[in-house]
Amino acid sequence: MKRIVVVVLGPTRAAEALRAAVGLTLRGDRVAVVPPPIWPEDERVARALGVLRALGHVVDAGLEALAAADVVEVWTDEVGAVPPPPDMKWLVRTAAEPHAASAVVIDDTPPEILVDLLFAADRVAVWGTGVETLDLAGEVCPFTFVRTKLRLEELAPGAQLRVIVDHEPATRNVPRSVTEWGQEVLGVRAAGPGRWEIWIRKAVDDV
Amino acid sequence: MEGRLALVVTTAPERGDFERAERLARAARLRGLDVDLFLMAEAAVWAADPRAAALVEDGCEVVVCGTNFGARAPAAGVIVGSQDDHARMVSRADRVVALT
Repeated sequence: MKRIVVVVLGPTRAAEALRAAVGLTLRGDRVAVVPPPIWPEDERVARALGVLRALGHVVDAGLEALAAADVVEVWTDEVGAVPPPPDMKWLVRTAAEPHAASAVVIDDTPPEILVDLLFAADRVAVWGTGVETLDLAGEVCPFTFVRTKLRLEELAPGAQLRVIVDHEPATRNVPRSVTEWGQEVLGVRAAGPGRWEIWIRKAVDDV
Repeated sequence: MEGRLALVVTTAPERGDFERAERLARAARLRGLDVDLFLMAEAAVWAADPRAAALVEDGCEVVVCGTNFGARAPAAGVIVGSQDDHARMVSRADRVVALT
């Protein structure tokens, strides 16, 4: 029986990640899901989480679960950077991704050497990019809007942006404007005393 | 060298993960390893690509998630399967590389 950890870095691909997680239970292996900061409002996500719970699997694991994992699937989002925890021999796709000095960069390693490394290490996994973050702590209107808009302009459609604010009115005003720009607000949540996160998905190119 | 490598690819073609898996699969086959490749989500489109068929020719088992692939015609030798194949491949592998 293997211990499989499915890391869901963001909400965009959560439904597919959880469908995979449910599938991975079919051969008797144990599955633990490391959730994203916010689960999307999605009936498929709710159903998959319910099934995993009903089958006795873990849906709220922390990254420490990686230390005991036999297999890891890190479900990425398209942009951003979340450094991987150190408990495993990590591979990353490109040198541009955040990684420890000990990590193996797939694109910079000859494949035959990569195969040898994979089978020589105790445990390996591929880390991925996470979600772009824009820290607007200290900013007030209109700079919260301007900087959010500028960052969105830099992103490709489908990309996610996590905006951190410490100006409470921004938790209402920025999402309202973002929606008016045609973008999708995935959620707003508290992120510590006097800090909030606004999660946005770039839905259209013309910001 | 003995063993079985499972590759799971789920990302959009623009990410380049199929190409990474392809390079790994070929190198693993040259080392004498058994190789399984499971495609799902945005990567399911590769199941119709001749490069997937070439991996089958090279001795890899290539399966695509039927839920994602739909009614399209797969490339020669590519199996339109299910999440049970995903579980089977991961469960029996000595090493899993998930490009997800």
